[in-house]
Amino acid sequence: MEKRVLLVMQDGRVVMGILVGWDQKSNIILSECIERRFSLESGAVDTSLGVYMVKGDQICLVGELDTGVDDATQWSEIRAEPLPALRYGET
Amino acid sequence: MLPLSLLKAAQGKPMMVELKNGESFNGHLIDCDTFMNITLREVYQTSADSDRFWKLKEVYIRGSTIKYLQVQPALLDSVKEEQQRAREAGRSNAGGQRGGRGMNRGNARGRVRGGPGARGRGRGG
Repeated sequence: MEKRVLLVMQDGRVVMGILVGWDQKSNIILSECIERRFSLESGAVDTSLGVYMVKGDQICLVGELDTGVDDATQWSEIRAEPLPALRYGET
Repeated sequence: MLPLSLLKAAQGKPMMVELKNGESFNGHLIDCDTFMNITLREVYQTSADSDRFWKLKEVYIRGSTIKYLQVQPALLDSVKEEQQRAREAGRSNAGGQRGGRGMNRGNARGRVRGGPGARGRGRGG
């Protein structure tokens, strides 16, 4: 509670924020949210989003963020493919 | 803090809702329920590719189609304050009530056990 977490949504978005609340359906409230967009053309870009309430059924993963490592990383130098949205069984 | 209490506190306040299909809605929250179905008023709708916009008087959004919603940061503080007030009020009320009920229950049980139990033993001896 009240720790910074990293949340990955099913559409591939990566959001970091302070875990303020949750419920039985794992709907989650995050405050001081930052979205981190990755791209191959330039470094990762952070965007401030404020308070978010994400529906549980849209969440892929939530984990505690190591703020020390996060702050020490030069994300603007890191180029990476953005996460694709969740796909269901392609046979 | 429960997501639904935040949503309830956001009634009358502006918010942004993004749907699973990528469309987003900016407007004032009028009402919501436990399924997170919501109605918004004075809404600006944005298409998923965010190149088309619509102005709508009122919209109803089914809760299950919502991806996330964004509210004003100030709302968090007002909900926290409200919950703190409720906790304090609850503590001062429930404290007296709990004690009273406990005492009554204890007395009643004592009487029931004491009566027939004692008589039974008496006959047996």
